[in-house]
Amino acid sequence: MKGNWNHTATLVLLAALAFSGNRLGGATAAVPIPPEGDLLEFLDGSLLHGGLTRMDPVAGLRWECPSALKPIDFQPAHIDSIHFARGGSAAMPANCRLRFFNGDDLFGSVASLDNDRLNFTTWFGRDLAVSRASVQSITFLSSNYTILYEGPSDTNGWIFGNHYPGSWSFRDGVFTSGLPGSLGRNFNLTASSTVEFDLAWSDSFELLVVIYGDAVDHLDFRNSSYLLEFTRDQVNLRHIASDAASLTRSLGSAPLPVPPGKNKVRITIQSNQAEGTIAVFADNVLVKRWKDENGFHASGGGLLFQQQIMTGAVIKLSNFKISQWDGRYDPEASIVATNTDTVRFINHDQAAGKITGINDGKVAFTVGKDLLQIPLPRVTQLNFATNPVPPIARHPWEVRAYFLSGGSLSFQLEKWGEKEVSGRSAIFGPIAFQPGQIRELEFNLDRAAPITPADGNRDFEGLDE
Amino acid sequence: MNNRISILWLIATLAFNAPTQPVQKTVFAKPASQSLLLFRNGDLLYGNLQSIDSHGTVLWQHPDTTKPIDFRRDSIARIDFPAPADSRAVSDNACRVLLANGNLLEGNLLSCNPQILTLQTVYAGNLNIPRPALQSLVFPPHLPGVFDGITGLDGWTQGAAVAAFVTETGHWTYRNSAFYTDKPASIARDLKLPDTARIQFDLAWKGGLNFAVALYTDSLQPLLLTAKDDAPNFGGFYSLRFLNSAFIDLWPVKKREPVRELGQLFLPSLNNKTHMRVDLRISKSQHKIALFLDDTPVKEWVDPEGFIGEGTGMRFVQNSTAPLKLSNLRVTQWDGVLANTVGETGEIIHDTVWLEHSPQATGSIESIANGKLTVKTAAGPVQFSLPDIRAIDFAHKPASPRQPQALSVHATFAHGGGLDFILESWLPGEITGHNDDLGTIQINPTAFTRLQFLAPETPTSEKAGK
Repeated sequence: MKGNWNHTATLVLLAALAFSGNRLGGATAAVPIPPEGDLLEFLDGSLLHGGLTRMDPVAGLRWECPSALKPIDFQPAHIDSIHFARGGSAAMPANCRLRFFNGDDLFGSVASLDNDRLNFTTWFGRDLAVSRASVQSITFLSSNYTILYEGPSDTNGWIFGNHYPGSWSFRDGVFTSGLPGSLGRNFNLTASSTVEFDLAWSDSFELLVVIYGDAVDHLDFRNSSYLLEFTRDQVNLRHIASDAASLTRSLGSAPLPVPPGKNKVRITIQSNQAEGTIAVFADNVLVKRWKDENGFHASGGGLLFQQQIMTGAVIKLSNFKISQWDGRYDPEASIVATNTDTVRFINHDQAAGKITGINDGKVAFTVGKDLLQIPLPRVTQLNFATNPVPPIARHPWEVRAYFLSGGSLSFQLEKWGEKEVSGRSAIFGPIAFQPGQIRELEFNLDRAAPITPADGNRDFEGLDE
Repeated sequence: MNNRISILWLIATLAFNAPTQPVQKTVFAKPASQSLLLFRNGDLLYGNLQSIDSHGTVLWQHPDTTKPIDFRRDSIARIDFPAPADSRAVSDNACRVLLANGNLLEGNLLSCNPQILTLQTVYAGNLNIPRPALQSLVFPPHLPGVFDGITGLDGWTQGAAVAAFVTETGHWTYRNSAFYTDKPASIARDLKLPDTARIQFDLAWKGGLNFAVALYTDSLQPLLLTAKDDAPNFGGFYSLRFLNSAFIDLWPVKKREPVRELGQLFLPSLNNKTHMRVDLRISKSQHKIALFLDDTPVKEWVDPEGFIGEGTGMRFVQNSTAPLKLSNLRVTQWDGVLANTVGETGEIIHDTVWLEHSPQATGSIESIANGKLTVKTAAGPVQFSLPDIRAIDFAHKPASPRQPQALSVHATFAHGGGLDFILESWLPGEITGHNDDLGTIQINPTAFTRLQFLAPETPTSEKAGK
């Protein structure tokens, strides 16, 4: 009878459908609603949109979200970060960027330096004095340095040129693409520029980045611009000529120094119109500086990101910072770990010695037995001898704030109120600033240590559902 | 009945497979015992459900809060619970009952009369189901298992993936009844696949899904399809390929023959997933391979040139540099084939009793009691012993759609099946609800692995006055 059963059976027990959450007895699943507000992320992958209303070590972190009837008070043990849904950039007069050995970095203006102290002004305080031993580097900004954009906090101004469903999408400050498509925006770049963004990938990928292009909704080979092709292993630069009869001109390629297993890198693209150079940095390390011997020729002011291949790779772009500047030298984007002090000059030369001070617009620099007084306009960066910092036990409320104006600062949080955040920094002592200056707050800072092969299982977190 | 659209498979075997082996979970930041709350806005929160009251307040315990959190029910899409240990009792009367509305219940058949079928369950006691609500019932066939779960690397053969774009390769590791890899890698075994087979496994991944499965292969080493003719000799096999988190296709592959495509499936929803249950039902004699994802039939391929699989092995090949987990691999013989099924709109007038070793009987079932079924046929009453019965189609009308109410839910049983009801309360020891067919029901919460809330149309933000 089996044969008969096989060929004429009228009974189908559709267990398969009933197993599924997709078959709901004729009813439909709840309609999705868009997320709103700031984003609270946990170390276990949990996510909650809402808003931070207050925070202190006693009461915890108070989070209000539309899903909850009452505010929720969390302790910080398993919190990863808070991403604040605010964009733009804070106007800030600064002539340099200071990096510290503990990972902090700030924009500000240096007043003076001696063997013990650095005096400077930053957006949350004037005439600050910090230990020189905490300072890793001082990078002097180019003239008329202006931040044009920091974000994204939303998609306003961005153009999606999707070719496939599943191409570029936006959520919680990150553009994501799993299939070919373009993402562009006109930043009206008119001068030299620095384009920075975080690039993350899940697999071998190919990302095209057009700078100074006219078209921001598609790849356009009819107008002058520069095209960078990023893969996991290398970056290639081409010039696109406005002459349609011309082919794109390759300026060469360079290996992208990304260690195996790493899948995220901070990309910096420096375009120096006066010098006719384009430089790419990966995690502040120079990949290559190309010089267009024909001079810098580009007709537009936009950026276009094109996800190219269909291998299943997902790429993510986030934390954009677009700045513009004048002059013949680039802002230094690399950091040098060194056993001695070094000075880097506008012609890209570098000298090692002892930085003994900054006063009256000059760097006092001892090379051998010679003491040099170098005018600051000739200097792009001061790197200070590595000063090993002993590991310290983190307090549960030690956080790192990332600011709209750029830079970041770690501190032990004391109070987060509607109008003021206060805490204690290992470098600055007591600090206070407006919460609106912060775009991201990171908790449990030690968990951000690089993953070693021994604990590579972390890659599989979340797969064990 | 033969004019009914036939798209569904007779899958009696799947309804009665050994229960899914509880997965021993690897604990990182999230304790394995935690449940998962998924919100309609895409948020998610691990923790444990304390209760749901009649006003729709969901009380959720989180390890970083001192007090449970009160969530609005209408903001929640679903709750996933850890899988419990199997507590089903084995019984000669064990069956699964499909209701006309698509709900599926598991239990022991106690009795049936012209008005009511009574099902004894371990999760809700005795359920009295009105006859008009019944669609079908099936008893378990007892087919032997072929491969039941991953227990280690022994017996498996590893190989480096060779797909295009691969820049580095890795290997699979074993942990807690699962294989893991985060680099391109192949693992294969001669699983002695039967001629009609059901193959099930779970996939969980991060990043894009770019994965391939070789079916009915005689080679345990992967090969590059674009250079297959240069590879060591191998017999024909089928390559099931998951590409770009959006495409699925099936290629018959033979040496020195062009690769053919049997049809590509475009599933953009895969891009939003991070795990899924893959379920293949294969009939060599009918040259068919049917694919179910998360228990939903998505594609059936028929090879017009005949079944070309020449081996009985399988290869699992990760082609991405991204974490992937393979678990709950199970191979069973499969007894089902493509079959006619319920019509699109038609009413089923008669009951049909399907027998193991005799032609089916059609008529009106008068009773089931004391291990006997009596059906009134045109030739008069006929009686059968329950062990001789394989399945029953009940006369019924198509179910009419029901408008979800504020607390309408669909609950998925841990061991398969599901039930719609209006949730009245959820307490640690008991769920109380109302089902249109079953009336008031009280269910043990541990019976469920998922609770899905149905279609409240008003966005949370509006109700919150935003």
